[in-house]
This record gives sequence, C-alpha cells and structure tokens, in this order.
Amino acid sequence: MRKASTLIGLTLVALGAGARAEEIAPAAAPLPAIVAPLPDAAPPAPPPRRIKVGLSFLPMGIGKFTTPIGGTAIEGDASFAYAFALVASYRIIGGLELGIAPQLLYNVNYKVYPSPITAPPGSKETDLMARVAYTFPVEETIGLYVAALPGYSIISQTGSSSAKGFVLALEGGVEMAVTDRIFANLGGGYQLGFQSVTVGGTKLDDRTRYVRVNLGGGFRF
Amino acid sequence: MKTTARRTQTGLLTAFILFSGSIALAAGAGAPTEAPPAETPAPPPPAGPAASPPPPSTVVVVPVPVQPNPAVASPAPAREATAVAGSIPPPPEPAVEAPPVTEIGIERLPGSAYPEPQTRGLKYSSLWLTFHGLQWPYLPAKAGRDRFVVGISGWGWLDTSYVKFFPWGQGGSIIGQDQIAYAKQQGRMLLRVTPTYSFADWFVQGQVELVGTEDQTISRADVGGADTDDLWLRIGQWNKWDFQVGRFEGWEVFHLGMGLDQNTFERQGAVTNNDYAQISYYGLTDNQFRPAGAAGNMAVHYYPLPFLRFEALGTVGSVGSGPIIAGRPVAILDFGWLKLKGGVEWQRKTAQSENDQTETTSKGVGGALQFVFDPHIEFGVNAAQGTVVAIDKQGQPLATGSFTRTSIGGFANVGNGSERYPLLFGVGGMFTRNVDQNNIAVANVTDNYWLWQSFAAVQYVVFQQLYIKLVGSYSRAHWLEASTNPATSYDNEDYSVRLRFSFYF
Repeated sequence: MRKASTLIGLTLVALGAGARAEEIAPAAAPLPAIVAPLPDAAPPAPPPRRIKVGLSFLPMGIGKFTTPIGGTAIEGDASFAYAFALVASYRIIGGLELGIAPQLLYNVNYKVYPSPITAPPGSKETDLMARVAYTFPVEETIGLYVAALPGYSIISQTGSSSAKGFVLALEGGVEMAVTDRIFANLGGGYQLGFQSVTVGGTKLDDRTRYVRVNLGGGFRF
Repeated sequence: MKTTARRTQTGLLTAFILFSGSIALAAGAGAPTEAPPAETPAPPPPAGPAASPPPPSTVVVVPVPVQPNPAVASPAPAREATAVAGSIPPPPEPAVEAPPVTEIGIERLPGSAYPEPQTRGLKYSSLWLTFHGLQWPYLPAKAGRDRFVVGISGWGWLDTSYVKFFPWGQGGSIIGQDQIAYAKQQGRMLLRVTPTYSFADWFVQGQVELVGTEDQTISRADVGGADTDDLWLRIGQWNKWDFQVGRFEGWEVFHLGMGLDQNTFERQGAVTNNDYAQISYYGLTDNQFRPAGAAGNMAVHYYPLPFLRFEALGTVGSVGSGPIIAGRPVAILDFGWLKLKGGVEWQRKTAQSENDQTETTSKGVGGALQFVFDPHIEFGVNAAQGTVVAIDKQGQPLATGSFTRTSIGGFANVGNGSERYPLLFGVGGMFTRNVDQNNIAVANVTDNYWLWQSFAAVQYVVFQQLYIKLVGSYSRAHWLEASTNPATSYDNEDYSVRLRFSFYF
C-alpha cells in the first residue's frame, strides 16, 4: 500500500512537472471538443430516392446533316445545333434507371449549304426518347453513368415534308449530388438519326448525326 | 522471487518517473529551445490553394548571425545548472531589449497566408483561387514581435490538349490554311519566394516567381514563355494600404470560370495566325497582365473597409519598340456572397524615334458581378467595352487599327460541397465583337468580326491537393471584310479538349 502511494505520488510529481513545462508554452487556440458519436446516435439513412426529374441543355457542335437535294441525299457538316431535354426516370434496382428524355433540337442545318440555291432556314428536330441508364457510384455524392436513349425522331422542315425515323443516342458522364435532393450531371456522347423522307415515291435519307454534350441538373424525389 | 522482481520493477519505474520529471523540468521555464514556439506554430489547415488536410508545413529555422548582445544573451547555462530532478528553476530573466529581428524562417506559406475575410468562392473553384484584391501572401507580425520570414509557395500545371479547326466561307486561301488539327502538351511550374519583414502592422515584402516551362521551343517573349512571372517589392500596412512596384498583375475584373485558362486553346478561340485579323476578348485587360519588355507597374492599394478595396495601377517603360504609359484604377466591393468589380483603363504607346508619329491609344471600361452561394454554386457576369485609336508613322489615322471592342460573358460553377471528395462542374462563355473604321470599299460598311468562346469543365481534387480538370470547348469566329466590294465574310470554328493536372503548394 505504501509502495502504491509512493508510486502515485511520484507520478503526480512527474505529471505536475510536465504541466509546468506546458504552461510556459505559447497559448494555443483551444482545440474543439471532440465528441465521439455514439453508435446509436448516427443519423438515420435517408430514404432511397428513386424518382429523378431534370432538365438538360445539349450543345451539339459537331455533326453531319443529310437531306435530299435534287433527288439525291447529300451529306454535309452540320451547323452548331442545341437541344433542350426533359429527363424523368425511375430507379428500378441498384443503379439501373428507366425513364424518358424527350428533346427539342434547334438549328438543324448545314454549315455550308451544298447547293448554289438559297439555303433553307434551320429546321427543328423533335426526339421522343426513352432512357435506360446505369450509374456506378464512386462515392456518396459522385457517380459515373452510361445511358442509351432510343426513340423516334421528327425533323420539321420548312417547305417540305417532315423527316421521320428511329434515333439512338449513347452517352456517358458524371453525376454529382449537389444536395440531398438536387443533382447535376455533365456528360457526352453520340446521337445517330435514321430519319428519312419520301420524295416522289422514293424513300431518301434525311437524317442527323451529332456529337452531344449534356449539361443537366434536376431533383430527386 | 516474485517479490524481488516486483521490487526491481518498482525501482525502475520510480527511477523512470523521476527521470521523466527532471526532463520535463529541464524543458521548462527558461530551457533553451531551437526555435521559439511562437514562431513555429503548427499551421492551421491551409485556407488557400494548399488546402486541408495540409501536408506538414515545413519551417526551417536558420540561425540569425547577430552580434552577441549581453542584454539578450541566453542565460541558459545558469538555468540548466539548476534544472535538476525535482528542483524548480528560477523564472527567466527578462530581456532588456528585444532584437529587431528574432529569427529568420523559411516557411511553406501556411493557410493563413491566403486571406479569406469573406468567402472567395466555392472551395477549390476558379473563383476561390482568386484573391479579389486582398493582400497576399499575408504574413503579419505575431504577438507584437518583429518577424522576417521567407515564404515558399507555388504551383504547377500540365495540360494535354487537342484542337481541331473547321473554317468555311469566302475566306479564300485562309480557309485552306485554317483547316488544321493538332495536339499539344505544355506545362509550367512556378516557385514563389516571398521574403517578408513585418513589424506591428507594417510590412516590407518582395516576391519573385521563378518559372520552368515544359515546352522548350518557346522563347521568353512567347505566350507562356516567361521565366519570371512576379518580381515586385511593396511596403505598407496590412489591411490598410500598400505601395507596390515591379512586375505583377493588376486586379482581376473579368472572371472566366473553370475554362479559358491562360495559354490554352479555348483561350485562343477559333482564331489562327492566318486570319484576317486577330480577335481576343477584352476584359479591362490592356493593363491587367504583366507587361512584356522593359516595362513594369506601380500601384497603390487602399483598403478603407474590410469589404471595399481600391487599386490605382500605373505602367511605365518600353514595350516592343516604343515607350508605354498606362493607368488602370479598379475597385472591388466584396461581401463574400456578392462581389462587384469595376474599373477603367487608359494606355498610350508611342514610337521611340522622334520622327515617327506612330501612336496607339487604348481606353476601356468594364465590370463584373459575382455571386457565391457556398458551398454549392457560384456564378457571375462580365461586360467591358473599349476603343483603340491608332496613328501611323505619318500621323494619319489607321482605319484598320482603330476599333471598338466589346465583350460580354459569364460563368457558373457547381460543386458537391464535399471536403473529402470535392467535385466541381463549370460552364462559361464569352462573346466579343470588334468593329473598326475601315470602310474604304463600301460606304458605311466597316470590318466587323466577332468571337464566341465557350466551355464545359469538370474538376476533381485528389487528396485535397492534386487538381484534375477536364475542359471541353467550342469557339466560333466570324470575319466580315470591308476592304472588298462587296464585302466578304468567312467563319472559323474550333473544338478542343484539355486535361489539366495542377498542384498548388
């Protein structure tokens, strides 16, 4: 018992000496209290949000445009086009989403009209697309996604019949959770149109092909 | 046996405790230390480019070769003699007179050197890497003591990029010459050395930025080829005023966002050396960047309020073949979440020869409005307009060299606000139009050319240190030439992609 008392006393002396040494050190900013979270105090996991609704702006700077001129389908470089899309999807399982992504594409035209006649004004393309996407989570707020968007397309052209046909877009990108509900995404891909028009009983290509960039964002519910 | 062993253990423990106590006391009051702790604090997490969690900030203390001064000589031996186990040393003898400079430190700039009285922007974003007129590196005296420190910092970046041009129109041979595509890797690394002497709230500071460039084919006069960026001296009072002279940049007014970085394809836009006229954006930029040639800046900075800053910058010297003189006052109102910047500028270049009447006078006015909603979104708009009036050797107005330039643009950055996995998206665009006085072929039709530059970018910061940024850009330029009848026009477009790795230290 006496030995134990001696040991405790010596320990206190040593600690006290140490305390003196620290007292002359420059005053340091008080450390923030560290409160270890209790295991049962962890916030409950937010309910999984399966529904996603968003808007996208899609600049399409590089592309090809094909129209019938003088009875022949002529392909040329496409002018800069831009689209607005509404995206709505539902997460089925894991990162798999199914939804729709209709888009309106403006300024569908040749960069240089391949004919000496006056170039028609730019056309408007309506793409009624479905969207199948899979998102690979990198961490809680970041995911990489790939998407396929098959659909039906209509190119409304001034002074001639509308071109119609199948369209398919393939896309990949990054999705970021800005807040618990708000997200933003940045992606890129390629869009292939298989539209055609019938001229004089002959079916001719009247189609678009674009490299697309997707700048989007929206809400999760 | 057990008792003997226990006694031995107890004895050893007692001896250890006593020894520990004596060590603690020896390190107590008045014990000599290699560096006063006040001068070598553990740095806070860097608030600036060297972001948290920081690597250990290195402080190398170099002994100052001061003359022995009995008044301040270390009384350490006497105290060491008394620092025996269990004894209490006498209190330290007060210094009669503090030395004017107590130590020299070579220090990686701590986070506090990058001031942020109001938020500069989303962490790691382009706006956050801008100092909005604040005095930095900020290295004030501490606890009323004089301080001399050599701050070390810097940054480096490496770009791998690709660009392709698509010209069309009536440009004749230019169309063929402009059909080009090429790739480039370029990089710069910069070591910033900032000796600073601070006392009370005063300071004398110098800075040199030593640059290494990856592309060894460019010369010092080329864009990005300078081997020295900053080289300046300044004196003043922290957060009150200063006077600065040397080679440095004026305060930024236009903010371009996460793209359109210096020396890049997207900054150049759809313009090549073959084109009819060169176009670039105007953002109160005639006198913002470091002057080339034997010219430099002088500036007075005034900080009347924590949220209000002024810069009056002048440039003098010779650029190219002739003298230059310029002025550029700028004001910044910074509430953190809202930043308003504006200024005007004037510049005159003349010829060296007294028989040469060549003269170019540039004027401009511009402003920017920026919003920061930390930690998720920041955005801003820019607008500027200026004129250039050129006179030739004979003193006649130069129609093609006299023009009005106008730029309007904006940017937006969105981030996830994550400290550990910071990800940012950025978009931006800029429209510029130049209209000159050349109407010799067609009445009332002058040369008219414009440039659109835009980008989208994504950036991730690895370990809060290594910035990885991917930028895709689109640019279009249009030239209407009025030197022919009828006037002709052509266009050029380019697409570029760029991957940048950068490291701030």
